[in-house]
Amino acid sequence: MRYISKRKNLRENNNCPMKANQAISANLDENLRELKERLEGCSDAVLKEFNFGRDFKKRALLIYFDGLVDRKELEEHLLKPIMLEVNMLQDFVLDQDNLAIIKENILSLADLKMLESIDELCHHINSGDTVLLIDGSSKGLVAGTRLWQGRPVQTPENEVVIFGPKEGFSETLRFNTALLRRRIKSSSLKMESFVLGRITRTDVVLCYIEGIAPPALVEEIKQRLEKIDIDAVLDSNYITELIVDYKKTLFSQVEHTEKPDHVCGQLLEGRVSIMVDGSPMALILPVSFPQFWISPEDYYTHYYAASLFRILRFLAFWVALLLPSLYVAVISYHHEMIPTDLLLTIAATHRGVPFPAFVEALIMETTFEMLREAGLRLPRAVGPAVSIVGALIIGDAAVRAGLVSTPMVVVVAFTGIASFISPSYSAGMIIRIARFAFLFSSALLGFLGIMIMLLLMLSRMVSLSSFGLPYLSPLAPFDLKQITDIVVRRPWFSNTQRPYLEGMLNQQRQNRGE
Amino acid sequence: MTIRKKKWLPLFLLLALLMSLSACHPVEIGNAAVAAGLGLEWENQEYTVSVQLAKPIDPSQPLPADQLPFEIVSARGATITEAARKSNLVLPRFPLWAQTNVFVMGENMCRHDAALFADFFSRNRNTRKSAIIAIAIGATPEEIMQAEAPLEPYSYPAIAKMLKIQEKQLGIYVPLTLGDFLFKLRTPGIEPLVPQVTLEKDEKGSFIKLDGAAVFKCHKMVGSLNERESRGYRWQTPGIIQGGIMDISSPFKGEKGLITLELTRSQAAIKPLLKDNKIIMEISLKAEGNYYGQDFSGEVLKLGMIKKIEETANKEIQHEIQLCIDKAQKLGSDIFGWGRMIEAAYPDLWQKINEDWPDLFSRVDTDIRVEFNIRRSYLTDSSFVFR
Repeated sequence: MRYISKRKNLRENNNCPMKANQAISANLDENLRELKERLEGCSDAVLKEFNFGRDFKKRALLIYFDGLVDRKELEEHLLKPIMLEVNMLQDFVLDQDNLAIIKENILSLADLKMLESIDELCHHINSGDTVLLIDGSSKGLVAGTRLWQGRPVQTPENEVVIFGPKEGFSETLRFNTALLRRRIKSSSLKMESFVLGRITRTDVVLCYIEGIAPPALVEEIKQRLEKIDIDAVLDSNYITELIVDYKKTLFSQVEHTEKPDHVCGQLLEGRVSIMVDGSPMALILPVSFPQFWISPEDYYTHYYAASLFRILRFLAFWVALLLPSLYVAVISYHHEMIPTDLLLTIAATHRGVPFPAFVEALIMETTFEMLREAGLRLPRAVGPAVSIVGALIIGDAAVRAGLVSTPMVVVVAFTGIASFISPSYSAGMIIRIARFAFLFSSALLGFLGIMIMLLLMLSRMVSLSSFGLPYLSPLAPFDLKQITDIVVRRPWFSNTQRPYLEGMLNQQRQNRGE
Repeated sequence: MTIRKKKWLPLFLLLALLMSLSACHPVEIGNAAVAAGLGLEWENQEYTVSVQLAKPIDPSQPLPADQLPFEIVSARGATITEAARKSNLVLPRFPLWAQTNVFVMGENMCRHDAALFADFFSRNRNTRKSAIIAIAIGATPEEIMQAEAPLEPYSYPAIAKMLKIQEKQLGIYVPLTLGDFLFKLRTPGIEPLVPQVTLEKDEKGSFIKLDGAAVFKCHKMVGSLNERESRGYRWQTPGIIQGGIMDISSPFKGEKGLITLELTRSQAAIKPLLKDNKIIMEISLKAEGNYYGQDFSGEVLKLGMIKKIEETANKEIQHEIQLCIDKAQKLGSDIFGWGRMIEAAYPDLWQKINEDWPDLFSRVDTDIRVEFNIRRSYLTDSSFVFR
């Protein structure tokens, strides 16, 4: 009890550490004192005092964080002009409004802005800008000198495609928005900016296309973003879990992607994307479950091939979800479902296996998930070695040792492959988790258990919605027109309408026949 | 918190109850044995249940040549259930009856009473109603089980395969499923006709052979049809029949020999007619076939001759049908289901004659019309010409 009360106190004390908004003072020493206090312990902060003007009478302060700014630009276009060229100006000119004159006449930087409060100043220097304060002026000058070492634009590692663009988002928000802007060269592509995270002050951008995206949806998401009050936003998933309607469900109501072309495609269908500085994962919403089985690549390949692969993917969905449980149910309850010869073969492989089929499946599935998880985290050098050992242990040694039967290995391997066929990794995760529930229910009640579980899952899914979009649409509520672009890929010449979204402003994609 | 927990309580209770359901106990495949076939005989007030248990097939370790791929377990008991379950006195596995594709009934049991097993099989949920049923003649089902079928690992499933293939190739017997058999037993106005299997012995050993078909009358086996009569029955089965051959004698006056025709399809329309207060069954049959061969020299495949061949074929088919009807009427068993046809056409009349139908059936007249057409003659369009 005591422990809990202590924790409560902690929570209460954990208020925002920021001080009240404070204006920049005209006295440089005062500002310096304030800033030094604030930046105490920040060894990477640079507070450079210097003098300039005729007889070096004027005092100025340059503040920035080392490593976040372009030093070369800072020296060439900020320090040099002030220290050398200001001399040419008359003193009386400088006396009046130093900063404005310097900003307008002397500095050769493009991105310059005035600011008035210390808080603002801190936010800017934290973001990589440089701030110039001059004695006698109660304003600060922000110079956009952001430059830091980041990952360049690379091929996304987790969403590999053969056809189509291969660029992927990186961790720098500006690069990411630029990737979108390069694809949609229109001023109707809006990117509204938010700063979230009490401590991290992370930039978050809400992208949508004005004139297509439902205004009510955009407004709702804006409100939800503004309501977020959290200390840190380190990845886009922080936001996902804070803004979705159904927070306690397994089913992801937001799509994550690393591919700018995918985001653009979805924006053009009236959806909205949220991008977070520091995260290469963009969020797309609203999203329905069948969409997780659609790859952006489908639209870059021939539609016959793409349609076939889509059907294959839907098939793989059922395989990944149900195959182990179906196998367990058939083997333990419904022997009459198997042709006699196959049953005899399976029976032969089961000879000497000490576990019931369910335990066997559970062991194998868990082992597979462990291997997968370990494979993710393995250092690249040992990865292949471990996966070979894993494959050998599962595939061969376990069978030879009589711990598991061969068909079970086949089933688990097939299921494992099928569970990675979803273009969306998060959807694959849903299946992999749900699979265990199906495994338990089939061990308990056979096919009946699988049916009960399916009903439970479906009833949960139809009750969900992602920002107003029914989670199973267009399957439920049924919409034949849209299903033709879900089950198969509709060719572009007949794809005249955007998928319907509640409140969408413009559904016409192209005019046909002209 | 307690309120929230209570919400899950019924679910846990339900799961616990479901787990204890006796019907839902899983049978692990390692504890089960596949019953490929079941033989049933009744003698001296005691049933003998013989099960052909298939051994698991390990593809990497084939069985030695001298070992049979199956085990036969026979058990005796006062009822079928008891006999079947007594097999577990020698067998440490659960027999999986659902895999059983063939049931062979003993002749003695069938001649005594089909009631000995009908109720059991219609009630039992573990047996497949789509399984093939046959009757063992001249040997017990167990003896037939021990015999070998060429190339087939298990003798009983081989019976089902033989029945299916002979119908396409030869066209003699009509396979009957257990479900149809039970249906015909309990429906007035139709009786089952069940293919028979027997053992044929030669110097190399004994093997299974399909031989005739058993005629039932009032839940008792009363006699058998031979091959030709069985053909006659097949012509009259409802629906389109496909496959089979027939031999007809040469329509030439001088030349002696046989012509083989292959049946591609045939359909019989059977209609009961009332004439002068007498029931006449009008059987009109339309069949198509191909010219398959001749065993004499002489040009038969000529325009004028084709008509003659077709007429001869008509007569042959008519004769086979007549033979079958004569036999059935002699035995007094309505294997064709004429009673049901009368019931469908003249419900009022059927109400009156329902009781005496087995008697009446033997005196029903028939009017058989056959129309056989030759369609193709395969690779040559004329008979083989000698130099």
